[in-house]
Amino acid sequence: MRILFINNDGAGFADFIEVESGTTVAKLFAERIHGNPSDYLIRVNRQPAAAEQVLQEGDRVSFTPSKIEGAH
Amino acid sequence: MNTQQRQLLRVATAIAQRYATASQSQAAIDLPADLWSQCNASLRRIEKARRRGWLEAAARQRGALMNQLVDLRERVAQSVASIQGMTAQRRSVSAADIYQDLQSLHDEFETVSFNRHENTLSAHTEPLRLEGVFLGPFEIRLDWKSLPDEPRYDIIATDPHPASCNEDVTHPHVSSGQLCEGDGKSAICRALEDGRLADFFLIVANLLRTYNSGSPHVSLDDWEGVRCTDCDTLVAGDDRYSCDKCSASLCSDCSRGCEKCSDYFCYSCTGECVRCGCSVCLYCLTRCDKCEKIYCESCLHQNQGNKCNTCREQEKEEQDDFEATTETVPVHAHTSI
Repeated sequence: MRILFINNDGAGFADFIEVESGTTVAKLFAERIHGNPSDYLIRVNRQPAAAEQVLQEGDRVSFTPSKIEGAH
Repeated sequence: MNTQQRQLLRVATAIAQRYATASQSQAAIDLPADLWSQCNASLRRIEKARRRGWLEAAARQRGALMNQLVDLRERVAQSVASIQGMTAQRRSVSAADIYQDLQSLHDEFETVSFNRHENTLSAHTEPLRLEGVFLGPFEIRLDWKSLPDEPRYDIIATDPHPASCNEDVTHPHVSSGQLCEGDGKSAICRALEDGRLADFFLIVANLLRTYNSGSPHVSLDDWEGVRCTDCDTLVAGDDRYSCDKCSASLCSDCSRGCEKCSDYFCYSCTGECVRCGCSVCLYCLTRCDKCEKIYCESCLHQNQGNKCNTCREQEKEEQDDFEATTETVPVHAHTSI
């Protein structure tokens, strides 16, 4: 199953990836992100999503860190 | 579809058109050679300060080097992202994608607005308070005509509470309306390159909601001003001086000029020559080896052996007395003891 995966952490990443059918938001996060889900804004199809939401073909999933450090 | 939605769709269509017709010419790769030179210069200064035993100067330079290395890391990451962007084929950006992004912004921000005449798109944050310091709300204003190749955006404090020492600094990471993106730089670039406008606004807003104490324009600890080390009054930026020896913050009244070297110092780093009465810094002061009173270099330099006139005269008198005593005391007086 193909989804659009967006990781706004670090260098930023957005691409289509293959995930197993039945993959939940929590599983995808655990596989792809090294961090605490509470430190991220998690959106599926631009809407807030529950951890156990099962992803569907063509979904757009984005993880955006809520704390990003600026500089001077 | 209501009027606002129709207007939003027009903006989305115009932005998508920008992406569709954007020049495919690729920007030159910018290697951070200038920053690397600055790092080397700082390293040389650290070595020089260390050789001369200037520990505080060495510590300051180490801090400067650390900041330069952080900037260097960001620039390297930017170069990597830039090359990756050239290598990867840009995904097509549809008006529908952008429209949905713009619609979703209303769920993420208190206010979203656009100006079709000025070609700007804005999201407004809630009033921000970082570590107890109130900074007010900010407008993130994107110039969508600059998309996608040369994106420009401004951070506008709509109810500004700038740093007392610099009115251009409205946020620890914003100066003159420009955000220093730090760790968010690459992600912001990628979001704008991909036409993910909602992600762009979210990343920038989260940057504004985060304080990096290691690298601010103005530290939040100093936002309202700095306490004068000598008199403890709050000093604003224009009136702030710094001791050239210990770097203590001073107000103009407490900043004491050295009459010999003309630099400025705090009370603890200055003294008064007991001979000529001039106020001099610790660098220009010398102590008499005998009485340990403080003299300026020129007053003590007139004497040999780092002794003041008084001590030298006293020594001379003692020596004369001793010699006179030795000459008058009979030999049998010694033998009777």
